[in-house]
This record gives sequence, C-alpha cells and structure tokens, in this order.
Amino acid sequence: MQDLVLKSQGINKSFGGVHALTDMGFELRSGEVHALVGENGAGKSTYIKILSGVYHKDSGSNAYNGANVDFRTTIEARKAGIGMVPQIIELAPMLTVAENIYMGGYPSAKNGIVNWKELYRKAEETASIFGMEALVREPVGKLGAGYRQLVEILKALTYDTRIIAFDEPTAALSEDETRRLFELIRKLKAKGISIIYVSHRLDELFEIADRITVLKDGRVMGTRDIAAVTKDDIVSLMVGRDLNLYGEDSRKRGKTDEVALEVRDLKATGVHGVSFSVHKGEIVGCFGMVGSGRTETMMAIFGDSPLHGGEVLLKGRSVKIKSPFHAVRMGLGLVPENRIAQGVILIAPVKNNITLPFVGKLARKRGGFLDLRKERAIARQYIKALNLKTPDEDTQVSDLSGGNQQKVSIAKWLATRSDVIIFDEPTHGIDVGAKADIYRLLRELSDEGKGIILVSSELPEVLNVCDRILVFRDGKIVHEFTENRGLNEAEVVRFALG
Amino acid sequence: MIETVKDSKSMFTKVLNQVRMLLVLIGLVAVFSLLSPHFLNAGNFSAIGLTISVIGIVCIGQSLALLTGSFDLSVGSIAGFSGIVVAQLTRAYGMYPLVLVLGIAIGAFIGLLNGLLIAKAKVNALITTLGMMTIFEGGTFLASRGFAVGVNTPEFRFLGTTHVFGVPLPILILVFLYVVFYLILRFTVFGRYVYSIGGNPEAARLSGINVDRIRILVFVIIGALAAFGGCLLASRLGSAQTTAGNMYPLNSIGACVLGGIAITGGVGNLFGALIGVAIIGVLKSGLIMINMPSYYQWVANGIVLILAVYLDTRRRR
Repeated sequence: MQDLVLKSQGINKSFGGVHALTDMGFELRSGEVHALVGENGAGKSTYIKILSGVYHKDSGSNAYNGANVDFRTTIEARKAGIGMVPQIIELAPMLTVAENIYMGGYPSAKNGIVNWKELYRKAEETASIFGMEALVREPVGKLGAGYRQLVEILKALTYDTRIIAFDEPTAALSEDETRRLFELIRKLKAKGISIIYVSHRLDELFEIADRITVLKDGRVMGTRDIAAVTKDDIVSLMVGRDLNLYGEDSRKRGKTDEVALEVRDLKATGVHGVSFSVHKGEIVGCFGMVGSGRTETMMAIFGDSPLHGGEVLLKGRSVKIKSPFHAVRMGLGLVPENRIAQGVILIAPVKNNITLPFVGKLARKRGGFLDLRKERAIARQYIKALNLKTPDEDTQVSDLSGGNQQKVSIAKWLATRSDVIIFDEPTHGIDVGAKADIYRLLRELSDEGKGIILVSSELPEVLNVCDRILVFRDGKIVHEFTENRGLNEAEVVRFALG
Repeated sequence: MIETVKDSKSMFTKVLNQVRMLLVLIGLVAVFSLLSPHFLNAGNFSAIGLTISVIGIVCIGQSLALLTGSFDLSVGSIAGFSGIVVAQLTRAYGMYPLVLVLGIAIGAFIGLLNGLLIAKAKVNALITTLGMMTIFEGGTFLASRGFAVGVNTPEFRFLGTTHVFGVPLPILILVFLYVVFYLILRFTVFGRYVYSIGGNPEAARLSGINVDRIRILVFVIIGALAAFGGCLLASRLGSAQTTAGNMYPLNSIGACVLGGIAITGGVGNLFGALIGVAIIGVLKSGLIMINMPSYYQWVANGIVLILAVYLDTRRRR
C-alpha cells in the first residue's frame, strides 16, 4: 500500500443554494494518477478548485501529508506543493515563459526588485523537465497551444510540488499534443508526484489513470481501480443508469424529396465554393477538422459574414440573407459553437433566453407589450420537452450546468419553430446524459420534417446520428457520403485529413 | 439535478436586495430629520423633488445606456445646448410649444449621431460621447456667447413653475416618466431587447435581434430626454444657463449605479435608478440643513457611491 498524500473527508460546498459538493470524500496516493469523472455540474472542478485555494469549502477537512490544510489563495496552495492546471489557460501573452511561470511569486525578489538572472536560471531548471529550457525567454504569445499548456504545467511545478490537478487538459489539444501530455504525466508520476485528472473523455482514462472516482450531483458514486472497470461501468455510475448514448433510430419518415435549404457555390472568408442541400426530415452531418471551413460556411449562410459569391436557396427560392436578423425571419436557426459567448445570455432567466428570437411575436397586436403568461407557458413547454434541469423558468442561465445551458441555446430555436436548424458542435464539453438527450432531440426534429445540419468534429456522433455526411477540408466539401451505412471511422477521417 | 433552496430565507434576501437602497434612503431621511428640525416637512421634500427632477429625467436615459452595456457622457451638453437654443428661439420668436418640440428634436438628433457612430461606425462609446460632450459644450457657448439667456414669458415658465394640487409640475413629470419607462423596460419588446443586448450582445445578435437599431434608438431616446430635461430646467429657473448640465454625465452614471444598475449591462431597473437619484437629492438637502459647507456634498456623494458599489460587489462574491 502506497502512502496517502491527500485525504478529503466530508467536504461540502454550495453556491447560493445549489449544492455543488455534498459530503465529498477523496484519497490520493503518492505517485498515482487518480481520475475524477462525472457529468457537467457533478462537482469535479469545484473540488479541485477548493483544493487549490480558488474556492473555500463550507465544511469538511482536507488532510495533506497528514496535516489539515485550507488554502486562502492559489499561491498559498502552490507554495505548499499543490498546483492546478486550469481548464482555460490564462497567461500573459506579452510576457516571457519564465515571467509567466513565476507570476504571482517571483523568486529572489528583494524589496520589490527582481533578480532576473536568478529568475531565468531557476526557470531554465524547471523547464528542463520538458526540454523547454531554450524557450524561457520567449514571449508566451509566440508559442502554440500545446506549449502554452506546458507553461501552465510548469507554473504548477515551480515549488516543491506534490500534487497537480488537471482540469480537462486535453479539451483543446490535438491528438499529437495529447500523446505528449501523457508522456509528461508519466514522467511526473515517476518523480512521485500525484495527479488528479479531471476529464470527460473516458477513453483516455484507460490509458493514463490508475484509479477513478465518479461524481454525480456533487456526491461520490464510487472509487475503482481502472483495471477493474469497463467504460460502460463508468458511464452507468456517472448517470446512475445504463445508457445507450445514441439511442435507436425509430424515425418513421426520414428524408423527404422536399429541399429545405440549398447552397450553391458559396464563397466567403475561409469558404471556397461550397454546394450542398438539406432535405426536410434529414440530418446532414458536416465533419472536418477545426479550421476546415465548416463553421465559416454556416456563419455565412446565417448572414453573419458577407458572401463573396454563390447563392442560398430556401424551399427552392433564392434568398439574400444579410444578417442573422434576416436569417431568423426566414426560418433558419443556429446553435452556435460557443454557448457562453454566443449562445445564451447568462445573466438572463431561462424563459427570456428561450423566447429571445421571437419575442416580438409575443407582443403582436398588444402595442409592444409582451404576453408574459404566454411566454411562461412556452418556456415551460420546452423545458419539459428538452428535459432541461432547472428549478424553474425564472432561474438565471448562469446557475445551470453546461449541458443544461446548451439545452437553453437549443430550446430557443425549437420554440421559434425554425425550419432549418444548424447545430455547431452541440455536444462539445457537455455530459453524456445531456448528449443522449440532444441526439434523441435531433431525431425528433427531423421526424417533424425539419432540416437539420450537425457540424461536429466528433466522428462517432456524426456516424451514429446523421443520414448523410459531408466532409470539409480547406474551405471545401471534399467528399459526400450519401448513405451513412456501415461506414467506419478511418474511411471518413481519411478524407478530412487529405 | 440542481437542488435549490427556495425557503423563506432566500426569498427574504431577494426582497432585501431589491429594497436595500430604499432602506438606505429612509435611513438618511431619518438621520437628517433627527439632526435638523426643518428637514422633515412637505416644503423641503418638494424642494428636494424639484432639485432632482431634471437630473432624474437625465438618469432615465443614462439607465437605458447602462442597461445596454454602454453609457453616455454627452447628456449634460445636450441638456445645456437644447436649453440655450430653446431659450434663444423663444426670446426671438415666441411660439413656445413648437420651439420646445424643436429643442427635444435637436437632442434626439445629437443622440442619433451618437448612436450611428457607436453602432454603425463602431467608434468606442466613451470616445464618441466624450467628443460629442465637448462639441456641444462649445456649441452652448457659441449659441449664447457665454451668457445665460433669460426668458420670462408665462408659456416658457409653465412647465417649470406650475403646481398641481400643491405639487410642482416637474416632480409630476419626473414620476410620470419613470412610471412610463419602468413599464416599457419591464413589459415591452423594446425593454426585453435592451436587457438582452446588455446581457450578451453577441447572443442577442445571433438570435436575430437587430442590435444596431436598438442601440441607435436608445441613444436617440437618451438625447431627447436630456434635451427635455435641459428645457425643463431653463423653464424652472426662467433662464438657460451655459453650465447647466456640467455635472450631469458623471452624476447620472453615479446615481444609476447607486440604484443597482450594473455598469456591465443587463442588470438593474428604473425603480433603483430613481432611489439612487433621491439619495443624492436627500444628501444634498440634508447637508445644507445641518449647515455643512456645500462642497462637502460632493465629498459625501463620492463616498456614498463607492460605498454602495463596494457593498454590492461584496454581496455578489
């Protein structure tokens, strides 16, 4: 039995009445990689933020190397040897790697004057772990995404670090970068450093984790040795039931002959001549790597960026869509890629978000005054239809979990009754339960005769949900799989990579 | 699943947050009533009401700007310029009601320029309204050659000096406008757009809201209200002053923030803004009543503003 570095008991934390963690217990052995998984809002991030001094627990105890700790700041935690690599990398792009590494606590600073020589020497020493000593004088802004994450890890390693918590570290990384990150984690492990690894990607846990703890609604559902579980075991612990993620395709009608949307030789920034059509009742998948022009195509159709050429036809009629304002009125809906920045108004109630695109209609023949009763009824209807978990329709969207926020972003187009709805990465960063709900919903919508476009870089979801697949590369459609039957992943990826 | 505590305690804090500044206002009134025997009477309240009536109207516009996540520094210059122009024209041609309408239209037009520059030309709101403020500060002096413009015709002085059942008309106008705009913000499509744009302009735009148009409309309304305020002030005083609106830009933003309107947009309501204005009015009157030199008022305003925002920030954390 290895020694325990960390033992948490009875941790409670709530945010304004919402219990984020309830009686949380967690143990970490020295030199182990302990994965923390759970749906969005399960409390994973909350726990590691408490541990690293970002949040303060309401009650409970954290015993670190046998002594009770309660850090007030992240610097305090780092100095004690607990570092965190946050989900969103926040570095100062104009400052050098070394300056970023030591931000908040420059070593060898006397009377406010920094000993730069000493700083860079120490930075080189730390950076040598990853063979990055030559880069410490480079401004961070010049480095790629992968390196930036390494800087964040170095930051966590500056003091005599015993524990590093990673929050969704691979979310923004390419496959190659992910592989390098894993090598690194193994190196850290070999040095006796313990790792807490938060992730949504279950597959990678089998590669990197020793043990796994599953959280659900802020409670621990169980801790297992990774060797003793399968992916299905984890998923059923996470959702508390057996889950068939993609569900059964029991649609009656499927695709019809009627064309809902047609695009001819569309040209815009990053889009070099794209033609395709979407039939009523059809789910068309748009697959491609990030930067392949999928999102750019959709934003151009939606009137968000100017067309340099080509034509958009709705129900066979050529239309000019100059702005999202026009697009919405012509029956298009768009669930944007970035739900927080583009999809929802966090500080507004759920109901205001759901009725936003058609709120003007609620005031028709009422002199501009809204029919608030009708609005409430509509909001309730779609909260129910989407299995949206919210205390009520007046709750602020910011109080919901990521998956439920995404459902709000989707609900507004259902309530608007748009004919064609574009979903841009609708399941990105949301939990499996919400994912399954969204897949079911896509099929229901197509069964109602709507034209659905699903933009996604998750191949399993494209293969399991779509009727037809368009593969994007370099601003063009490079291949179309007209029948999505028995395709395997490699076939599709080959076209996307070229 | 989210568990939310919806017991009486959280409802109580919710209500408390709504009326917090109202309690501060009542507290201030109580303190000044104890300190000065002349404070607590109808005559004094009427005087306070009159002093805040114009800045109060300007604050309605400023609230609209703040709620959409913007602000307007040119409100004072618009008020001053319109007041001067209307007074000049009235003195020269009479035709008062028509001239008043023209004055409001001038304000609306300056607001339109602000709106077009900010929404369409994408010039930063601080720069646009700062520039417009300076332009019409200059315009005010050019139009008046630096002197106040006195007008003493009964028509011109009607709005500012009439009493209805003993209540000065400007106070009634103030209350009327607050009620109207409170209802507009809370119950109309326009109001919903204002809050949505302030909450997340990008999400509002991608939901098919014509964000630019609403922003422009907001600045037009701000301009019209500020101009009306300027004319009302000139009517009350019987003369249009060149420096009438100098303190309005920052005072109006201060009062709105004091009343709980977030400077980041999308949060707050006009009831709060009115309380904020009233607090400043009471503070001013109270300090005079207890014989504090008038410059302490500025010091007190500043302290109250910072304190209020500090308490609010701490509560949100």
